[in-house]
Amino acid sequence: MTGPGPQAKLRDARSLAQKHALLLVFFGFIIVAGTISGGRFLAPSNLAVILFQTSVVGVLVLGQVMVMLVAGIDLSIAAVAILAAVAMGAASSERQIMMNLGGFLPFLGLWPAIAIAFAGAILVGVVNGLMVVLLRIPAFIATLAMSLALMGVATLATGGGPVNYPDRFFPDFGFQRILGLPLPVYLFLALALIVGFALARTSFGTRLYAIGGNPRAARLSGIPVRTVTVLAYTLCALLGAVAGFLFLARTGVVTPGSGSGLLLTTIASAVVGGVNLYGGKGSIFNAVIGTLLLAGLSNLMNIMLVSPHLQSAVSGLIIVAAIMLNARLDQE
Amino acid sequence: MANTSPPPLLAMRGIVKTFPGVQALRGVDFDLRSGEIHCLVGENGAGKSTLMRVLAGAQKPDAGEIVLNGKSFTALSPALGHTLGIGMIYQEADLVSGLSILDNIFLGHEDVVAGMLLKKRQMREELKVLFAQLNLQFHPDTIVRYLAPAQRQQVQIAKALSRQYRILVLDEPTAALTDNEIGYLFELLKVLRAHGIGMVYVSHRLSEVLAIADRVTVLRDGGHVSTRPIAEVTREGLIADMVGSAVDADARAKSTRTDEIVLAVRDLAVEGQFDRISFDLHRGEILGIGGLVGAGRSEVLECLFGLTRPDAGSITLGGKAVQLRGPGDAIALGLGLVPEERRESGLVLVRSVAENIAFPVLSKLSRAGVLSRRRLNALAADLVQRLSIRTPSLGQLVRTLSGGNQQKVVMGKWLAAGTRILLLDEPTRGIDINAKFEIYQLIHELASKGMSVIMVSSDMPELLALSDRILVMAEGLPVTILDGATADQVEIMRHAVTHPSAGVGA
Amino acid sequence: MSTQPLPARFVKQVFKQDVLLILIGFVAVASVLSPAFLTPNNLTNLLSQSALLGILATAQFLVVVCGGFDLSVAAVMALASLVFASNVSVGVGPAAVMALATGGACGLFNGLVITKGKVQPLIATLAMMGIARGLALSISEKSILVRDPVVAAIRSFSWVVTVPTMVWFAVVLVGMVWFATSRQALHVYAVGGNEQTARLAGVRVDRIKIGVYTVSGLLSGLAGLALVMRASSGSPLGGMGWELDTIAAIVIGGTNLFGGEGKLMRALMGVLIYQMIANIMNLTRIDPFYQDIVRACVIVAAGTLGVLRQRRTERRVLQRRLA
Repeated sequence: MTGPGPQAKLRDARSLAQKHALLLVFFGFIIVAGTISGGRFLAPSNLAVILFQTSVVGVLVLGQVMVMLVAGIDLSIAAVAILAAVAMGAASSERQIMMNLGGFLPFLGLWPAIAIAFAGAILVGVVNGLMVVLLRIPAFIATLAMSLALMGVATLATGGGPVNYPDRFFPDFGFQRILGLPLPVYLFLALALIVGFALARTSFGTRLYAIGGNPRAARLSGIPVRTVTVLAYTLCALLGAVAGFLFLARTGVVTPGSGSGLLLTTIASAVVGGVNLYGGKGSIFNAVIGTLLLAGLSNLMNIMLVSPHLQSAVSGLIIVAAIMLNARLDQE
Repeated sequence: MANTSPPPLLAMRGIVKTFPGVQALRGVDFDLRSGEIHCLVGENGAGKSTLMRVLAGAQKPDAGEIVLNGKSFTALSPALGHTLGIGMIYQEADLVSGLSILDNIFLGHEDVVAGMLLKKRQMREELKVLFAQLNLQFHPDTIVRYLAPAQRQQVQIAKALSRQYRILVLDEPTAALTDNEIGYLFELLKVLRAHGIGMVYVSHRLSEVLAIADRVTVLRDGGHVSTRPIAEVTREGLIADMVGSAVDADARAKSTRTDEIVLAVRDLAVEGQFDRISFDLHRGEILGIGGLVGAGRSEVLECLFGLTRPDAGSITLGGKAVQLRGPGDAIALGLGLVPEERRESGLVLVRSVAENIAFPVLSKLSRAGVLSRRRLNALAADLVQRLSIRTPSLGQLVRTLSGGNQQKVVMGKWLAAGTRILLLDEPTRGIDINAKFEIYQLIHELASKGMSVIMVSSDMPELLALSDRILVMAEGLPVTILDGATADQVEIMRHAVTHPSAGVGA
Repeated sequence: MSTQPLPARFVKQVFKQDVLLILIGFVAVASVLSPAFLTPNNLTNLLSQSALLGILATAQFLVVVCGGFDLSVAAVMALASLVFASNVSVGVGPAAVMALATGGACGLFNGLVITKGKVQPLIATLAMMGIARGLALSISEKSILVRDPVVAAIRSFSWVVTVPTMVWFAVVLVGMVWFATSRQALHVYAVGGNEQTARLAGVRVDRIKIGVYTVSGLLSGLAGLALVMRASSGSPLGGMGWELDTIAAIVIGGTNLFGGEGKLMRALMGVLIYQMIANIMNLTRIDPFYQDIVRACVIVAAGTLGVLRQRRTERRVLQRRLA
């Protein structure tokens, strides 16, 4: 209680740190990563790789954030991505259809295949939303069931085999580079800007925050809670299909089992990015930072030749540590 | 500080608690004797809840001491308070609704053998004795979820007695009770008093304080104002202590009612809630709805706002019969509801003042879905000024505002939406006295500008001071419509306790 | 209430047992669809297939009733099975203790992160899932065969049911007695139902939670041992995706996912119903790929049923309040 000057300054610095805790962690990580990798982490080509790898999960995170803002969760989003990728990959290629044993997908041609995949995703999203809004099943259960069903459909669609020979369009898109960065990275960044803008600057976004913050007050303020919620789930599933497209473009191969790690990485990224599981709080910017943080971490461990299995263990520990640190800085 | 009385059960001395920017308690003294009901009153923000949170161990005081059972503490914790015999009866965090009455009453101090096995039979026997003492009739295995609020409170009180708490804190215990139930509660409290339990009774309702207190302590702005035995307490004296100067609570303003009928309700009914409600609402009129809690008053408002569908009857707005499918329809037709629980239903606490005001009109502030921040802020700034909402900025989270200012934000929302018929449900509940009068003034001002208001209130002076006419309801049915200028409290109460089902046809 | 005629009350009691009715319905349909269903052989097989999931579901049930989630149960089971398999040369007893201790340690870590670190259970146990699965895979990428005579003997032993089934039943039996008689169980329900109230009533909430997660870890370790008894090997990929299956099974068993409500016996029936879907489809030679879709429908149905049940009680309270 002596000199107010330095103390006030200290408090300012502290509150500033609290406000930007995630960014501090992020830059801290970049410095540490750059140092212990001997600069290899910060090489432009490596940064491009991180962005390329992030594009799929990143798009899924965008969708997940929207649903989490209305205090929901979409456990089916990775399954949507995989099923969309399977449908696009198989139905777009005659060769693939001939390889399928007992699958039900016919050959449709490139654009009809893409259209079918996106239409299917929209349908899934609407059904998810209606289960939550009309049947009032907890989102956790409804989307878990949807995920199971979609994985079943994905397996049936190709008779259980992998999709190895999608139309040329997909790998061409995936590896086309502009200014050294592959196209999927631009698509991801563009979508992040659009969704970020939609949340911060449109009536839809404001309504999402209102519903997540207090659904009853939102309803009493005349916000069409059910419609907006269903829309959130629908857009989420739609982004899932986009992620499926990117997945196919990036890897050229997809099996029904490809999505096993995607879902949990998506949720972890959003939560590390400060999106609240109870709804109403979170921003796209921070969620993207969270995604990049986790992707960067995994990349760093690759550079450091940590075995992929230990990586999973280490990421688990670091996710917990990051959330605890974030929560501590965020207090009060 | 009487020398003859036994040492107090509890003495809090010089309690200081500072939050960032606010000094919530500035050296407060408070004591409690065995077998007394000590009422704690004061406006919102006077420090009552903070003081009780210190006693509950939920807050650590910055300075001061708490003496319990002759031992001195600088701070308590919930577990410590529990072992020292302090019981808290809160409205919200009360009982575990999924557990039975038996389990709830013994939760945390079960009879066990070998440190873990429950002795159910013994607990049942104890419960029987306990209920007999309090003249309560419950089946011990009833799940608490199935109990009405008043019954839950009775279970809580039984719980307190069974734990042999020596100190009991009751925070606004009558908020959800009907008058009969309040009477019953007071009987229970007297039984506890006879058992030598000391009770701190926190309430806004001065008439209850006057009816039940042995001593009354008034806090103001975090400081101790007075502690008096009940014999020396008067209503006016309490109000004067609370606000610092006497306030005329009974100022009736001029009626601004016109002849134009904006809303006509005929034989409106929702099954299980209310029946045969009919009235006309005029432009510029304030129509009060009086009656006991549970008479179906709030339910009428909810139905008018489209939250429930009527099973019978008609609603005519501006001469046209309407069917409301939801709040959206009601808002479009110029209705706005200020709900009773403003924090739970009226506001999104984690969003800004500006956004909360703009929620009903987001589409009007957007072009092609893109929200204009400039127009949103202009609208909010205008309303913040018109309603003199005290907030550091438009971006301030609503959570941090005081109750009165929060209520103004809810009302501002409807002004922004161009509401012509305002439905108010207990508009000043839990709001401090000064803010209360600001809100009264605001309601009058709105009515004088042509707004029509329907106001449900349990605060009878408020009902009388504001209403042009008062519809009194009992047990879901209308009893009578009184003229606000000539009615008095006794008359309202007489109608509110009738049994209209016995023969009054509206 | 007691003035109702006896038959009406009886019907009411029966309908309260909705999960049991569904189970009976499933059994009836199954025995009509396939004569092979009600054979001792198939039933033993069904129980044996359900045992591992059943033990994990018991752990999940405990955590969910306490208001949490444990997404790490299956991964911890896999880790424990490998800890046992890679140390069995020291002796079956010590190896088993090590496996259980590993499970318990994982659970304890979960509990501490959730209570002291204030991390949401979903995320904390999700991280633990990654940790345990990663550790399991770094012990060995492939299953480790166990060639121990004791294990072989246990594996081939069967008395009406196999040993893993016995372990599962024992866990459920102990669990039911514990839930019915112990103070701690009451506290688990209280914490799951209303944490704040429980705290104010003097329940040591953190201790209960840490205990619950630790027991969940121990049970997952036990499931790891049962896995070895069933497959004669420790498997790093054992139980992939089961964390969600356990949740689905207890939801079918009528457990409230928001905590505070549920009966272990019903959760057990939920596991059986969930497993029977696969069993019936195998017997009737329906493409196994349809299993997931049917399971999804059953989960949605169970979820809807739970919601309806809740709404009915709400309505009843409302009516009583007005009466």
